[in-house]
Amino acid sequence: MAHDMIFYTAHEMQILRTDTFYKRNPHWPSQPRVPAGHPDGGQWTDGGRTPFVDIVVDDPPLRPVFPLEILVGSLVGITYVSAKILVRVLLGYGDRIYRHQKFLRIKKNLEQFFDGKPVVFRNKAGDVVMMRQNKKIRFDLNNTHRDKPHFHIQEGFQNGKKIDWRDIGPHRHYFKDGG
Amino acid sequence: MKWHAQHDQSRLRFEILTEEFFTRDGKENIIYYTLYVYNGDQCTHDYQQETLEAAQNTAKEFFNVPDAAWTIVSP
Repeated sequence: MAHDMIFYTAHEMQILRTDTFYKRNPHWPSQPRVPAGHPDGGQWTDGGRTPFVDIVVDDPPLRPVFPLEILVGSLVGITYVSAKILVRVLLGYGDRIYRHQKFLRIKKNLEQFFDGKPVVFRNKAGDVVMMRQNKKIRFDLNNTHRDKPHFHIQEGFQNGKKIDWRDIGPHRHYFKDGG
Repeated sequence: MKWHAQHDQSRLRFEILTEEFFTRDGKENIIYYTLYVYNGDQCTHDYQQETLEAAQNTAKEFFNVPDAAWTIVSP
């Protein structure tokens, strides 16, 4: 078998390999390969484009767009906001109406007590005295003498030119809500 | 003005203070004499009268404070 063996020099091997490459792919010299020194050195490449790099993309996935749903949702949102504003306005008016009615009720009761409109006096502290003829209500709202805000209902008794004031009922009356 | 009285038979303390009240337009004013009754730091009673005598009478009537017990603190 030894005489059947053919030995080639390195130069011949190079020629033979080159011939083989030409037969298989005549364009092989012009096709780019990965340069030496790279882990894939010598391998065919796609022409020198940037090597593929895995990039982690953290963008949220694309979602389908539903224009009708968006329109309906917006309308619902607008309606909700409008309803909220409307409720607030109505509650505000309700509160104002309630306060006004309460004020009118108190005013009516005071005028009944005084049998007319009282004269209103105010001191530097902002406390108020309402007085008419021999009836007086004194509100200690700011100067409360370390007590809760209160008021005094008093009746006057003539004493010469002046009037002596006496309490009607308890000495101090307190507000139901404490204020 | 301010008056003060200490009642010997009790631990109560009495003060009379003048307070001026005005109408909203400022055309009318009225001066009240308010009797404050203190038990320690707590104000237990406050009576508003139109004269000093009426305030002192209230103190005498309800708390037995004699007229002589009153001394003027500040003019």
